[in-house]
Amino acid sequence: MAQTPKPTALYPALESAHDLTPMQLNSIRFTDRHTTLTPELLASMRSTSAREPEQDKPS
Amino acid sequence: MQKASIFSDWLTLLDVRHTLPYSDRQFADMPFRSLFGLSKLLQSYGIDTRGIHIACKREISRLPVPFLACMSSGEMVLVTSAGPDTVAYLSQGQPMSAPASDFADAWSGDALLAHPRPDASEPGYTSHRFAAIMARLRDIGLWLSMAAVIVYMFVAHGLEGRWYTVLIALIDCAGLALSFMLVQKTAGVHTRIADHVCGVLQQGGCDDILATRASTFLGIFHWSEVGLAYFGVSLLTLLLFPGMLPSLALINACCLPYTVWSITYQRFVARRWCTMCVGVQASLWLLFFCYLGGGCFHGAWPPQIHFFALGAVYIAALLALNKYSGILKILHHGPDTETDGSVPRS
Repeated sequence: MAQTPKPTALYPALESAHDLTPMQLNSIRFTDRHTTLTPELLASMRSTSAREPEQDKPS
Repeated sequence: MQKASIFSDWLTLLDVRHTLPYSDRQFADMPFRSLFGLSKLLQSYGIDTRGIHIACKREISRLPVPFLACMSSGEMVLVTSAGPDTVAYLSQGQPMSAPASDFADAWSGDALLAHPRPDASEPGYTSHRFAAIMARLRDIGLWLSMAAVIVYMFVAHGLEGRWYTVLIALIDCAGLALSFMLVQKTAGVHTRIADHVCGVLQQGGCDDILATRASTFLGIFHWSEVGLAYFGVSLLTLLLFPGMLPSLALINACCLPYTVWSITYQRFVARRWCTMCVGVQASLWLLFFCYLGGGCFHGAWPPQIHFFALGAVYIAALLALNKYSGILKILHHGPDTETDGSVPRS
């Protein structure tokens, strides 16, 4: 069955973007926290990456 | 009113027809509580999705808004606009705006994009909408009926002519509302009103205090249930048996040492303030001064049989609330909820 082509609005011109696989999407879980991320809280947060480095990803 | 989920907020931003109860329930019941599950849910609404990771976060301004951004700390926000200097987003339903650099630092680079098809809509929207309207009318009718009965009982017993009985009734209502919100929080039900009230003294203070062992009495009863029983029985007794004011006053006086312990615990042990808990303590003291000012302690001592009968009613109400408080958790989380409020995960 032919799939409906996805709209171009979902594919803006991006140089550094790549699609997440279903497994990767499923690894990004919703938490039960109800913290409101205020601008003050954002300023105090440090960027922590929960994902593996780019070069370790399978092609 | 219960706080809308991030899924419902996103549907609103995408201008997709939906009803809050159904869409929130669908979000809560996702088999995969992840971006994968959310993308499947969006697709069932006729919304195409794409999950991406961006290495160069300056490209955020090129993404079609609104999109869901995953923060490095685990929270998720809905970005509504992304410019070179500022990023506007929704966090827990609250609109926020932050410098683009701060946002980029806190963002993991993961995002879920969405684009609704022309016919995108909630499945079964028409019937859900009708049910939501009927539920709203039911709730309005319920509140109006209760208010009418309360006003009638007030006037029938001549309570409106005495300043202290009017104040006592109002403070009982306020204490009842605060206790009910505390019971909701204990059951894991989050509402915008409760979160807003909680944030008055200290953001998140209520959740922190309710998570401590001190929030329970004998490890069985939540103090929120005790408050709900106390204010509920007090209000009903005032309306039905105003002659028992001396007994009500005496029981209120017996509750005052608890307020000292609660404030001391929050100030020196937990070092966190629970706004609603402080509000309940304040209500108890305001009641005391109303009873005192109205001369309600006259004839209260020595306590008569009415005092002990009233005490038994308080205890019965507390025991019933504790026994059936699981219903609130089940109504919110669904029939598979454990009685301790935990939701079994697959």
